[in-house]
Amino acid sequence: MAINEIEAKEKFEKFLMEMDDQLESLEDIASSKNINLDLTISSVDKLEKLFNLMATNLDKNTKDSLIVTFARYLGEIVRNTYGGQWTLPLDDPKNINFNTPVITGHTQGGLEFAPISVMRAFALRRNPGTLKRAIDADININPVDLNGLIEEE
Amino acid sequence: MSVLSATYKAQLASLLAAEKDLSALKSALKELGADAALMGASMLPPPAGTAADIASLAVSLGRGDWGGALWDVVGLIPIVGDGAKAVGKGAKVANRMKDLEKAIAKAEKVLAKKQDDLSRLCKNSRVGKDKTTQAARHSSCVDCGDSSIKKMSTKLKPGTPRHKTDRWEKYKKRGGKYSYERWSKQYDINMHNYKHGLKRESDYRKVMEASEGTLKTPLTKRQIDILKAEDMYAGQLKTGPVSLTKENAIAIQKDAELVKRGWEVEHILEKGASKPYIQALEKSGIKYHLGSKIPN
Repeated sequence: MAINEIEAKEKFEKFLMEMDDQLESLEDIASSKNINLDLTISSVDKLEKLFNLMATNLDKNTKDSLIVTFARYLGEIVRNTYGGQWTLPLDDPKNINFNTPVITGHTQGGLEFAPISVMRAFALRRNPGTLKRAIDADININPVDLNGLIEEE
Repeated sequence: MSVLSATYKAQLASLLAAEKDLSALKSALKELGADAALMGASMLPPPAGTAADIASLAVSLGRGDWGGALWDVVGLIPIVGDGAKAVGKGAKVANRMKDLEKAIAKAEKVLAKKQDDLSRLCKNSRVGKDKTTQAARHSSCVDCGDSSIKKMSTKLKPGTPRHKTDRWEKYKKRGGKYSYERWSKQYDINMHNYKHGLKRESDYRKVMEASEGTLKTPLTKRQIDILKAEDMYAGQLKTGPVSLTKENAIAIQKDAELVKRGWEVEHILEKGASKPYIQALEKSGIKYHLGSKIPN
């Protein structure tokens, strides 16, 4: 485990090192389509729009790679807006986010914001507002109220 | 005494062998877990992903795992290969991990039985006063207080005689008033439901080519019975009739948090659910399926 964990961490460091180039590339592509991405929260909806423009007629594997690139941008928006940093969860193999880059420290309760999962959800279902709802769920924590429905035991 | 000593030695050897088997299985599972970790890293775009593919390929070839190596070669093709690899090797690794987990559960059962046998042998021994035997007992037997074996003992497996004895004793200490017969009947029902539920979960995962997992939510961790991460699908299986107890309401609230984060959450209600339970699911944006989705 130790050796592989070290390797996984190395890959994660490379993931971080390549961040700026990937973000700039995506901003350039967006610009060529008259979409201005600026790493602020207002870019979230634009990301969905851009993804819809770019992810048409792609095979699944190419789309998967595109998801990761967009997830980088989404993660950086969250980090720039709310703080936190990229981390790589490696302590629990059963964690859905195991060995997947996530943002932590952006909100209370040690939550992991998983941009790759959120982007995948959008890519699968294309529900407008998916990205914003996911961010909001982490920042404004408000569990659904079921009090009036609970039955007597 | 010499006969007893030989029996003791044979049982001890057998117990140690069982411990070794268990340890080997756990190591294999750990190794496979690391393999899965590498696979996750190799899903990143090149060159990071390609580097991880190369590392993963080296590991696969080193183990003589040609199936694995084949998928890693596919993964070396930037961008195009990763999805295919995830489906192929991911499914293979997941299946192997499930097999290993089953084998570990079995090995733990065998180990527990051997520990029981050895303890019984010591208790029934009439040669306890013999210094040599006593020394052996104290260095190898759970009942005689040997710490090395105690360290090997893992959480008691539900449904085993040791588990039942342990739970009965704890129940009495907590002030439980049931007679053993009544308690035992309820325990057996609980264990049946528990095992049935686990088996059904396992069956669903097999049929749906899913795994299981956990996710941190604002309301603590949520266990996901049927997980298809690629599809962002989280299935929760209820094998018995369910109502909206406080506990179930919290579970639904946790699932609602998953929905907000883009997950498709579905409750499979094999034996139905109360109206408030269904209303709670609907209010939370959680899908549900009444009845089984797979044959019994």
